[in-house]
Amino acid sequence: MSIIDRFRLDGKKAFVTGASKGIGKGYAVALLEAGADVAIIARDYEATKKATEEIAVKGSKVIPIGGDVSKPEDVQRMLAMILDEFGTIDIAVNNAGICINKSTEMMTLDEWQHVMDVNLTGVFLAAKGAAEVMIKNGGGSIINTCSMAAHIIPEPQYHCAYSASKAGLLHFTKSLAAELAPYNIRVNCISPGYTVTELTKDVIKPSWYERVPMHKVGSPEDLQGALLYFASSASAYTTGEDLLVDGGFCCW
Amino acid sequence: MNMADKLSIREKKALVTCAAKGIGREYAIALAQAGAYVAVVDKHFEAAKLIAEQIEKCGGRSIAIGADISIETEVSEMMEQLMIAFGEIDIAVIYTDNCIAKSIMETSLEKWQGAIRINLTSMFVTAKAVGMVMIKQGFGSIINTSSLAGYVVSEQPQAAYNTAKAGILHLTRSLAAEWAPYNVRINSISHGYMDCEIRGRDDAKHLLERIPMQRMGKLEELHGALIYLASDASTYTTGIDILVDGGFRCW
Repeated sequence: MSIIDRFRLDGKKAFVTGASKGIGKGYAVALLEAGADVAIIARDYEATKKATEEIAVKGSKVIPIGGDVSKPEDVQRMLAMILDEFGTIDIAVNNAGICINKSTEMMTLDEWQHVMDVNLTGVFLAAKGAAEVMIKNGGGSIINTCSMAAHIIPEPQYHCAYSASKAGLLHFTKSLAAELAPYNIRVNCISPGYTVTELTKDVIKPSWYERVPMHKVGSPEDLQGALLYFASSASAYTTGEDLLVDGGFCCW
Repeated sequence: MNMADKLSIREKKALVTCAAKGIGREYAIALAQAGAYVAVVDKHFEAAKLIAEQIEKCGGRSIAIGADISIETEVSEMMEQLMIAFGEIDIAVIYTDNCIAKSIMETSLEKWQGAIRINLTSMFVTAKAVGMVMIKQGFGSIINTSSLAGYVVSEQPQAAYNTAKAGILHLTRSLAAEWAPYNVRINSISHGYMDCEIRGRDDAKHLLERIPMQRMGKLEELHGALIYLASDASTYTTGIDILVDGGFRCW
């Protein structure tokens, strides 16, 4: 197999949560381009249908699924639909996440709980469900979307619950990696820095650019290489790792 | 640009140091297989020439340069030869690895300085020389090589080596922050226990039990990280390290 071919995913079956837009949609595009069939998952079913139509490519199958990863019954239904359509799961991308931009003293317990439910419990539920399928399969790759906020506190923005949930996710990824290694399942995560999407374009201010060594912000496309590295056999001996894609932010 | 194009390093000009054997040789051959024009650098020129010839025989393009990267004047000469041959440099893989397996009590000051010089100072000297060219060009990707030993202390006593490897991780971040405004990226790859290095060692079986994946790494399992960091697939990534360790550090 040539070196570049190791990044190919022909015939692989994947799902991406939080995939109707932004980073998740970029991940879905990368998986499709590399030859995988992909299930697009998001809370808003209509949005997943729209995304599915936008990113469809010849030769690969892409299906929309509506569901909330923080609800166990939704996750069960989503996994059943994927198995029904694809027969198996080789690649699970747990990307769904939310951020509430509030300082600690302004944040209510309900808001804190909501962030933990989606960002941590949601990944626990979907990863656990996918791992059960992968153990039967004899292998697979799970990729979680973490954040540079798991490593440092991005100062201009207060979001204690988000940062804490992502730091938890970083360590959950390592725990799961150690547990699932004997089953030939690799678990890794990607930590984006400031990334411009529909959701963040009004939040990220030009003055923040100065804080990034590269003096620019990233885009969902900048994360696709890291995703394909983890999703494919290019990273066959890599598990429990995190890849920062942050323009050097965490160096400072 | 689609992902296949982003991952492509075809026609790129690359250099790999300490490339006459082991992991350095593996990196040189991998880059050549992916279509790059590779300068095989080693202090043993004849050995470097053999690798360059091997690459050419397999249809790749390569030249050999003799240089000891722990000596600054030799690095300057290496860069001169490189610029005459290539005119520019897109990718520099700075590999160096010399493990002195001695406890602190057995390590003389002289041995300590030797280990730091070979493993860490040579990386400073080479990265600086390559960086000067890349800053002028306005582009380039440097890949340093560290080790799992830069994160965790191995059971085998080797304090000087461990210290140098940890130093490489932070040197990489420092250089990344300094050179980011010039579109020069600098990252590193750290390997865990590799089959080629550990097989046959007395503690091999014991080490295996400590690796979540329950096996040693294969040299070709370093290719993916190399291609990711060398290519346009990682244009917003600088100052990071990719560990390829079978999950060792999770435990």
